[in-house]
Amino acid sequence: MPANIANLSVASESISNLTDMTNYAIEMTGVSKTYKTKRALEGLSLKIQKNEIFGLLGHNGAGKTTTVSILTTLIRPDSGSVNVAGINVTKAPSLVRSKIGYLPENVQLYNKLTTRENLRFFGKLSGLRNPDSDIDRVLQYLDFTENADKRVGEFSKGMRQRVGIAQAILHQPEVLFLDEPTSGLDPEGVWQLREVIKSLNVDLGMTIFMNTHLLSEVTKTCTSIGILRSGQLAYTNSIDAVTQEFPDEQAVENLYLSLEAKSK
Amino acid sequence: MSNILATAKFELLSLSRDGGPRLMIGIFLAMMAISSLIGLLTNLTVSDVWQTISQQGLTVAPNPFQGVSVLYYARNSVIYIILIGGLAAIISGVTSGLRDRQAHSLDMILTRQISTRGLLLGKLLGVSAWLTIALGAALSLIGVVLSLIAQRPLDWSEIWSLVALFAAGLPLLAGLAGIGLIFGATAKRESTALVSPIAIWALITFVFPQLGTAARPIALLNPVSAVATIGGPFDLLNAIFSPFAFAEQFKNIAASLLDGTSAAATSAGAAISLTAFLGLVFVLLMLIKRDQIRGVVNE
Repeated sequence: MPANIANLSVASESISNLTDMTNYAIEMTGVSKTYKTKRALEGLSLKIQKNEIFGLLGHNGAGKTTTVSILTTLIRPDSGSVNVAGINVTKAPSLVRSKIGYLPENVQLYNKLTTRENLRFFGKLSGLRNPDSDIDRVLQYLDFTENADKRVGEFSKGMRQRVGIAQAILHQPEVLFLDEPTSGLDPEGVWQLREVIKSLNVDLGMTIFMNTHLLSEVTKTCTSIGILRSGQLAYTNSIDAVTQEFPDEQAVENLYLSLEAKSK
Repeated sequence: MSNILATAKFELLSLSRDGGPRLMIGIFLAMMAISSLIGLLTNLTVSDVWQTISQQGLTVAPNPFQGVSVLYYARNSVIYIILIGGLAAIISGVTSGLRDRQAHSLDMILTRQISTRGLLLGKLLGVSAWLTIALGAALSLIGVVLSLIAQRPLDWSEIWSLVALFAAGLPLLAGLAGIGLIFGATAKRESTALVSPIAIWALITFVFPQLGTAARPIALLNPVSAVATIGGPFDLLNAIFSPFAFAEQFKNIAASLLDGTSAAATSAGAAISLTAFLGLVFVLLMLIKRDQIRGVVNE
């Protein structure tokens, strides 16, 4: 066997050791994380199937941001196992990064640069050699082509969020993480973003993980939800089951509030 | 590696659009262009006075500017590289370090195919490329002005001396930009990010050389001549602190290149010192951890 083919098969074997063929886009088992003296996550276990739009709810300090930071390889868990797209985040973070897109909360982007210049940078960092054709494709998909050569500094919060989504999906990730995506948007911006999230899930088959504290957002956008309380998963179910169990939005809100109240 | 270069290219593009670095580089280039003219005006004024007093028989001394090399007029540029160029480098570095934190885009970058070290290295390369362009533009300006003063094209040895002078300025400026980058990337407040590297620059430029000499502080603004020690404890202090007086080291190299007043051995030592400075800054930059740059920056 030629040396380069041998190397390829070794590399392929190494990758297969790190990946796990599974129906789950996200699997967390017994994950704990402590910052100095504050315990953020305590044995969190969570499974999200592929092609879901999952909404993680919780009050401030419940551990939502820590959960997303671990899933996106930004921080390492103290213990437990975490797989994203079937890949272990601590053993192969770089491989995980090639499979995910991430839009953090309150992203501003680079005001002095145009949409295209912003996206070109993230495209290059995502390993796209010639990102311009991908940029055109994504901007067309998001109905944002006419703003491609305008500076981001001229944009409203909703338009910036669209550029943020564009950078996150430029490399066609399998799993998209959105941290409080509707935060600070006006009602029209919220509606538009909700439609974008749904279409990314339906058209492109992306699994979407949303972090939010807005219950109304979750019930209108997600296919399943989880409620985080004191670093543990207090409740999880499909949105269909939730609406069957709690037929009106007020009832869901009561469930959320009662779970929150228990944690205080 | 390609992502490091992509970061460097992005940094170069961003710096070319940022107001602060552009303004500082503009001032730097303007001062460089007129520095040689200031030298020429000094020459004309002194020569005029010399001619007057010489005609009146008040002096028999030769005109101090008689027969000076055209490179003499580039002497003033040395202090502008250290002062204005140094501050421009610091502001460029700080701007680069703060940029992603102000844009809240750092987490998006760090979830792409680039490490913390790769990101910081890319930024340092980008800022260094920005400074190289600025130094290149300054070199061209000085070359044109000196040709106009000499009323002839510069010869190859003169061009080589100027190129070597500006090349020696790069590790000094890149090192200062690197210090700005370190603070820009890690400081908890924007004001700390800007003030701290300026304090280090002042230490390097004014305090360290002053510790080893009894010369007046104003002597440190002398463009090329190295500050002399006067023996005794000053020699000891000079031996300890002069390797860290990087601005003085650059002036030693400039003295050697522009008027040959510095020994070759001193210039070699100065070049080593400047390279070590950049190396030290590089090592410190590479020691920065992901959690340090992810911290929130307050205005």
